[in-house]
Formats: sequence, C-alpha cells, structure tokens
Amino acid sequence: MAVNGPIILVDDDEDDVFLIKTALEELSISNEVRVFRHGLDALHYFQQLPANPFVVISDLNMPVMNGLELLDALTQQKLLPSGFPFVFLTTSDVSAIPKQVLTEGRFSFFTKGYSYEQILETMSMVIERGR
Amino acid sequence: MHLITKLNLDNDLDLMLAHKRSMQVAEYGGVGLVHQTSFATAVSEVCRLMLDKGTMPHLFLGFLKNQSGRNSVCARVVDESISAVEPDNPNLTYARRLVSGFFVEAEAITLLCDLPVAIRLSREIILRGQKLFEELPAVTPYEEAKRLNVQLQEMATRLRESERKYQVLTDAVPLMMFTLDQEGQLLFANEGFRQFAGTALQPGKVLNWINWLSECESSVAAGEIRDRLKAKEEFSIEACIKRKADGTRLWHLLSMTPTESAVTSSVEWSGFLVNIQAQKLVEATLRDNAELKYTKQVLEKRQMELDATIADLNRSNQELARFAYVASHDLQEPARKMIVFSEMMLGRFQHLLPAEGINFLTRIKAASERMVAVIRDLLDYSRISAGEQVEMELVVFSEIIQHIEEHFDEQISESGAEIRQMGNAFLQGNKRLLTLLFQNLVGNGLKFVGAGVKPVISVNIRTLAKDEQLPECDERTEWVRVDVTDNGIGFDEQYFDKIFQMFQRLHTQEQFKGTGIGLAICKRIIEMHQGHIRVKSQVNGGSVFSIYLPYRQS
Repeated sequence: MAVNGPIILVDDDEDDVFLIKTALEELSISNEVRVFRHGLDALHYFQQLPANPFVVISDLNMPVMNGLELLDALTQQKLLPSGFPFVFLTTSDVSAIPKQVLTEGRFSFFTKGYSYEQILETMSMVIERGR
Repeated sequence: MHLITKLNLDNDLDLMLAHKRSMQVAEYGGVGLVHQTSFATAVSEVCRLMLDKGTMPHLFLGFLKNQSGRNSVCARVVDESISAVEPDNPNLTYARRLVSGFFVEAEAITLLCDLPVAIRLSREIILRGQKLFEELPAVTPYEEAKRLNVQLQEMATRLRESERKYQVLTDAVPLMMFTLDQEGQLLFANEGFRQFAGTALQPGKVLNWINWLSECESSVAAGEIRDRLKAKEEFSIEACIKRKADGTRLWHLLSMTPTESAVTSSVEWSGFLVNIQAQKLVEATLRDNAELKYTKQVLEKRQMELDATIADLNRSNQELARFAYVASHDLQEPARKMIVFSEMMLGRFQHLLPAEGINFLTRIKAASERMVAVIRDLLDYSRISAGEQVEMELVVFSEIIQHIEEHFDEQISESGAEIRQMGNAFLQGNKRLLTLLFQNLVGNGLKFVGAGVKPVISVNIRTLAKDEQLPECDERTEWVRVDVTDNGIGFDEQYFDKIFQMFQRLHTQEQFKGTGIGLAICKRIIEMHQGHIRVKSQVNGGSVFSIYLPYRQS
C-alpha cells in the first residue's frame, strides 16, 4: 500500500465512476484513479504489473467477473498483501453477500448513497480506510 | 340247536300253527306218528300256558345233536314270564310226560323228542329242512296274513333304521339339506337347516320354505322362486341369509334339484344351502384390494403430478424472484442517479436557475425518490414471496420495538410521536421479518394521522388463554396477540380486504405518501409465521391491528 499509489476503481456504471471521481476531486485527493469496467480487467492489471495501489474500490455486480470473484481471485493468486484496503461500494443489499464472506473481514463495505452528500461522506470514509 | 323254523305266538289261533309245525318238523326228522303227536301236544301245551300268562312267547323248532350220539327234535319256547310259572304246574307236568326231554330255564323251556337211531343229521338235511319250511304253504289264510305281517314289520324296522341312518348322516354333514314339495312346503330338513332356521322350523309342521327364504333374504323374490320351482329344472342362486340364533347374515349358495317321486309322480325338490361366507369374504377382499391398488396408483400419479407442479412452481418462483431482484436493482440505479444528479444540480447551480427550473428539478427528484421507495418495497416483497427458507429463532419482542424506535428516530422527534410498549414475550420467528412487520404497522401509525395530531402508538403484547384464541388458531400451540393501536385517521372497515392487497391505497400521494405494498408485506410475513391478523378501525377513530402469532415459552 502506498499513500501515493493509484486508486483502483472497478465499476461498470459510468455515472458512478463520474460521481466518485467528482467526489474525490472535491475531497482534493490527487491520487491517480485507474478505472476498470469489470473484475477481469482489474485482475489482468494486477497480474501484469505488481502495482502498489492506495486502495481498491469495487462494485459488486459487474459483468464478466463480479466483485466477490475478483476479491477471491486476488486473494488466491496472492496479488494483494493481507490487510490491503479493499472496499466494496454497492447499491446492493448486504443480504446479497454470503454471510461467511461478510464476517471474514477481508474487505470493507459501503453503500452508494442516495444523495451526493452521502457519496462525498462515503468517499471520505473510504479514503480514511485506505490510510 | 339247528333251527329249522320259528314262530311268534300272539293268540290261540297260533297254538294250532305251533301244533302243526311241531308235527311237521318231527315228521321231517323221521319221528313216528305217535311220537309226533305227543311232541306236538307237549309243545302246544307249554305255548298255551305261556299265552295264558298274557305274554307272547317265541317258538323255535329244530334239531339238537346230543353228545351221546342220540339226536332229537327240539322245541324251545322263549318267554320272559317262565320264571313266574310254578314248577309243579299241571300243564307242565302233563307236557313233561309226553316228551323224552324237558328242561326249564329262566326264560326258556326246551322240549326234546328222540329221533330214531338210524337218522343222521347231516348239514344238507338241516339246510334242506330250513328251505322246505320257508317255502311251506300256509296252513290257513290266517297264517298267510301273519307271515306277510311279519315281513312288513321287518321291512318297517329296516326302513326306520335306514331313515335313522339317513338322518344321522344328513345331520352330520356341515350343510343345510332339505326336501320340498312342489308348493315349497318343507318335507324334510337336516339338523343343520333346523339349527340355522331356528327351532320354530320343524318338518311335520307345515312350513312354506319359500316364505322362510324371502323372510331371511328380502332380495330374493318369492315369486321368482315359485316360478323356478314350476320350471322343474335345477338351479342355484347365491343369497345372504339371516341366521335365526344371532341374526348374522351369511352368504350361502342355494342348489335345488328336482326329483320325480315314484309313488305320486309329483316333483320333489332336494335343496342344499352351502355356507360360502369365507369365499365371499375372499372375493370381497380381493375386489377391495384391487380397488385399493387402483386408488393407490391414482394417488401416486397425482402425487407425481403434484411434485412436478411444485417443482415447476418452485422453479418459476425462483426465476420470478431472480427477475424481481435484477429488475429492481437495475431500475433502482437510474432512479438513484436522477436523485443524485438533480440534487447536484440544485446544490451547485441553484443560483443560475429560474424559479420554474428549480420547481421542475424538485419534482424530478421527488418522483425519483418515490420510485426508489416503490422499488425498495417491491424488492422486500419479492424476497419474502420467493419462498426462500427463513431462519426461525427466538426473538425478544422488546428488541424489535427498540429497533423500530431507532428506525423512526427522526420522525418521532419531528412529530413528537410516542410509542408505548406494554408487555413482553419471546416470539418464535425471523427477527428481520418480524421487525419489518411491526415497522410497517408502526410506520403506518406514524404516517396516517390527522393534521396537527401527535401520533400515539401503543404496542401491547400478551399471551392468550385457550378461549381467547381465534377459531383458526392451531390449538396445539400457545399464541400471543400483539395489538398495534394508533390514534390516526382510521379507515372504513369495508376496505379491510383491500388494504392488504398489493398497490392498494386509500389515499392520494398528496394526502399521504406510500407505495401500497407495506400491508401486503405484513400479511405475507404473518402468513410465513402461520399467524393471523384482525383489524378494527373507524374513520377518524384510529385503528387496531391485532396480530396473532404462535409463541413458545422460552
């Protein structure tokens, strides 16, 4: 983990990517934001380059490879050091996530807000989690 | 003694016969005329004596071989009353003098007359003598009548014996036998029949068998039986007839065979009734068994169809749930974006927008918020209705209320509402769903209040005595009732059914916001807990929602 490393954003929703980027700008986070459309894209990135990102922010529901699958693949292939900040950001209900995964503590879980204010708040918490 | 002939002495006429036969047997033995006469006179003298005593002696005539070699003609008068005769009776004394041998025993008197020395008694002579005396012509018409009478009596005795044997035989047979005349009058019945039909039925007494049968078995028409008897052809029918002794109805096979009587040339019927109860039982059992098998097959087929239908239903339920989930999720996203972007627009560019533009944006945002609310409720409902297995646990009721108070924290402090809880209990159920249930009910109480009224909602929980339960409540379970009482606007009870239906609302969005799903969710959750709901309400008089839930003592 590097404070100056890139923020890896995995989300297929353009609007959400836009909102998150806007929120990060407003929060004066100057780290590079690398965006991937789904889990497999992100996995390839990690496989090719032993990057040292600041934080991974991932959606749960995505085409090709969803968020949980990405987390599993990264953990299995040891592409993420343990305790690395991995954040799920989703509109989905918590109940959609298997209970045992929730209690493993491998990641943090934030819901995308219903207002820009909420999103700002969420992003500042995510950055805190990264630091 | 080698018997040649015998006589039964009934009256004085027989004395003459006894005299004659004694003469003849002595003559056949070669005895001279004088000795014949003496022997015959002695025999008739003894017979007369016995007849005078009022008894009926038997006279046996034959030959006796003496050990000394001297043979004799022998007459033996057998009578019970001989012992009563005085030994010095003058008649006996007289008779004794006329014969060469005279012996008195307890029940017989034997008289002997010696044969000439030259006479040898061979077997042939004796046999020939027997034959001769058998064929001897009658001495008098009286003798002829007497002989025939004896033959008749012997035949009668044999007949009686034969009949007795027949009766014994038929009585021993384990079936009912009887004979009828043409009119159906009972002529003969064996013991089996008498016992079955009861003591009232005696052969002798005139009993019409047809009437008896139709009394025993109403399904057999007396007319039909009469017709069949007239037809004079053998027949058999099955009938369930009643045993007199205990009234039990037993299946019998009736077989009737006509025989033409040789004497009267009228038809007699021989009938058998054989107990076929066991056979009938087996038949019935087999038939029942077949029916049972058939029913079982039908049931199994139905079960398979049902299983298939259930599987189909489950599959389509799951598909529906997945669809509802995906649809809701995908619908929620754009609505959420509309809220966020209209908010951002308002936040950042309000100063640049005309009042009308701000109005439009506010409306877009409000509409989007309503959409999100509907979708969220739909998502809840689809998740509940998907038939997914919910975990049942012991839930402390006060914890649910606490959770609900936290949930409505903001609304409560804004409106100054009050939520009162009375009583507490452990509920058997799913905590998330039960919370959702009471959250919806309390939420309605908070929402549907008249302008300027401070909402007061009381939630009372108490266990129910048996007589307080609803009729539809399972008696094997303990029940609790939760009354959620509000001081809201209430509603007309005619809408009771409507309020629990999906999307049914009694108010416009302008009056009260809502999706029309909340109470549908409540009903579904109650059903999932095998509970029941009752509502009392009055327009402007508040509402009481009573929820009956199964409960278990912790």
